[in-house]
Amino acid sequence: MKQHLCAASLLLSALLSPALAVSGPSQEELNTADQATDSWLMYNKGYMGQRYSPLDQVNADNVSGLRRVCTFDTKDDGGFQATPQMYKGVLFFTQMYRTFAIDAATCKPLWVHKYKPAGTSVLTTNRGVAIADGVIYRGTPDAHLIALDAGTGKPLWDTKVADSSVGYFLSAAPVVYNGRVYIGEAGADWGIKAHMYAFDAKTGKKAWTFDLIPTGSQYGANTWQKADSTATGGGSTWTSYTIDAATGLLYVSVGNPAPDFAAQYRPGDNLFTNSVVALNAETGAYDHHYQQIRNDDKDYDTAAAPVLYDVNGQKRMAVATKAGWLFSYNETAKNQVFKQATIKVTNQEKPTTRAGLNICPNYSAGTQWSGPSFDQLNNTLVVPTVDWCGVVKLGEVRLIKGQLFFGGSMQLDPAGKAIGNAVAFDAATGQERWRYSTPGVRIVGGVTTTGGNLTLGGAMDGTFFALDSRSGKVLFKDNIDGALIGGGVSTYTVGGQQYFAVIAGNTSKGAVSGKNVTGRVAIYTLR
Amino acid sequence: MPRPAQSVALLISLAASAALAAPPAFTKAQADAGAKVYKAQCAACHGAALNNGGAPKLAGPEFLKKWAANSLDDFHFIMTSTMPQTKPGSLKPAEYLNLVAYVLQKNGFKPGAKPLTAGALKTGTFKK
Repeated sequence: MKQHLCAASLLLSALLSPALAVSGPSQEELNTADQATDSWLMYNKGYMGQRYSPLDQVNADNVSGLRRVCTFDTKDDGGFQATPQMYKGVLFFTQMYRTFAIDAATCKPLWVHKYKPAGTSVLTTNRGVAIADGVIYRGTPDAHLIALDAGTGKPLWDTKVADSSVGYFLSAAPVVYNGRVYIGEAGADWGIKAHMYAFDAKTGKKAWTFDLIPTGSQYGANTWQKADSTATGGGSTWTSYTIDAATGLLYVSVGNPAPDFAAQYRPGDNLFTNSVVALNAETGAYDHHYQQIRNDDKDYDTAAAPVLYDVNGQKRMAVATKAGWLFSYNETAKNQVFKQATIKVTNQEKPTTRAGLNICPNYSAGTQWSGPSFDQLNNTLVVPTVDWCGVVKLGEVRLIKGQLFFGGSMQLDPAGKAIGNAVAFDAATGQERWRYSTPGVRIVGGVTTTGGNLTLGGAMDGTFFALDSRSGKVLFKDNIDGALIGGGVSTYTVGGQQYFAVIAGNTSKGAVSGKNVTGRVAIYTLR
Repeated sequence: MPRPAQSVALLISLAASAALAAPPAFTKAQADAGAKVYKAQCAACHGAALNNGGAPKLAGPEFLKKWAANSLDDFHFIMTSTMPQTKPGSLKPAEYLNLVAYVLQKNGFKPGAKPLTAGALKTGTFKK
């Protein structure tokens, strides 16, 4: 498929085509993004985070006729974990320091912006953008939040959010709601103390801060029995955020505490780590939370954003975790409805020891940055999840500025033993409906379901797949040049025709041997 | 009494700074052996030039600035407790020491007759 590669010369802040005039999406368009068919506005499509499109032009009966129409090569390896976000025929996505705009049907490059960092960065992963009123918003690896003109990529404002030299960075795709940009920090594993923020979308001025590691008189501060340990308490927001536009609540998945493995250093439940916390989006006030693991000592983040959905009129929130569990909560009664293992789970309740504890999964498995897709057609939650075990060991707790603050180590079983899965669970009960497994190949990227009874996703050997959402049966496969898929699949129409865009080329070099293939976006349609 | 104790602590800190200023000793044989381990275990992520693989840079001004305030023991601690990524701590103690020697050499430090030892890590730095 090499003939389809776009020969783009990716210049710094380069406008590669005549300037576009982008004025939307409006708040009304954002409010209806979950059900829209001509756009994919957010990392998880819409505020509810369902990753579901009602489109059925491509469906279980004809998906075998899918063909790749073009491929855009970013010419860069490294982390690539975004989902292509589409508005008015343009795809927007990020890879490390760069933000791209390309034609959503032809891969023609429109503009690229390369951010010049002001500070150091401990991790360059970035998961995408927010788009509203003609502006693109994204976090940066040196913990800035920037705004770009959606039509040209021209910078509009740049707000420093935190000090990246101590390990703060912004990897999440922000969300815009009612004139505010929502984003929080990542970096727990480097010993940060994370926060969730709202910024004014026009100016970049901070509107409110919520401390994800509470101290003093804040709610939850008593879950840190050693107050000093809150200074490095962790609690990342890694991926993106979910909003209930009906209630104005913002849902934030919060990662592990630090030091990762030395729980005795920070006795207590360690709120709001390993939790989903719901905040008033307008004020930043605490509303409620659910903690998935208390006093975690295995780096089992609640990392992927939650999904909101209805079960016979009952409002539910589901979240999948790195520990390999899918949780569903009743948002009216505020209680847990089910907790379902998505993979083999072993020794999670046992404390980490100096000698080493065999555990399943290891910290690179379970559900990582991509959460469930809620299939409205079949009432299932389809979860990407990886079976992969390891050994966790307690070690010395030593804080070195800007370095990993583990208090131990995690050894992973050989990568060949990892099993990737896309698993469908009954959204009401958590009962497993079907499982698609890929022994030896992880599935970590975003899974998408459609009104055409399709479940689409990618595997870490470059395979883009389409499954029958009723059975998990493989209906279509194509390998995207061996580029490891860690990003998501989006779908939308351009000129009335349904397309799929897939992000491939995520390189987790330490865990995957072999040739690095550069990042690419592959676009498919029926031909 | 807090004041005398603080003075003593300050003196110790100054003495440590003076000791830390000594250039780290290592041999060419250690750096050569470290280069082999690096190629096999580290180069895929950190790059052949130690600063061109996407993973944190291990050579150059940015690296030296980042580690200026720390001892070689801190660097060795991070390396042994987090690397190689899938099997942290799995290399032999001599291999980790040789890797430190190789990183020193690639950052412009000159090998000599005296080998780098585990005991010398606490007083050595990347400061030039």
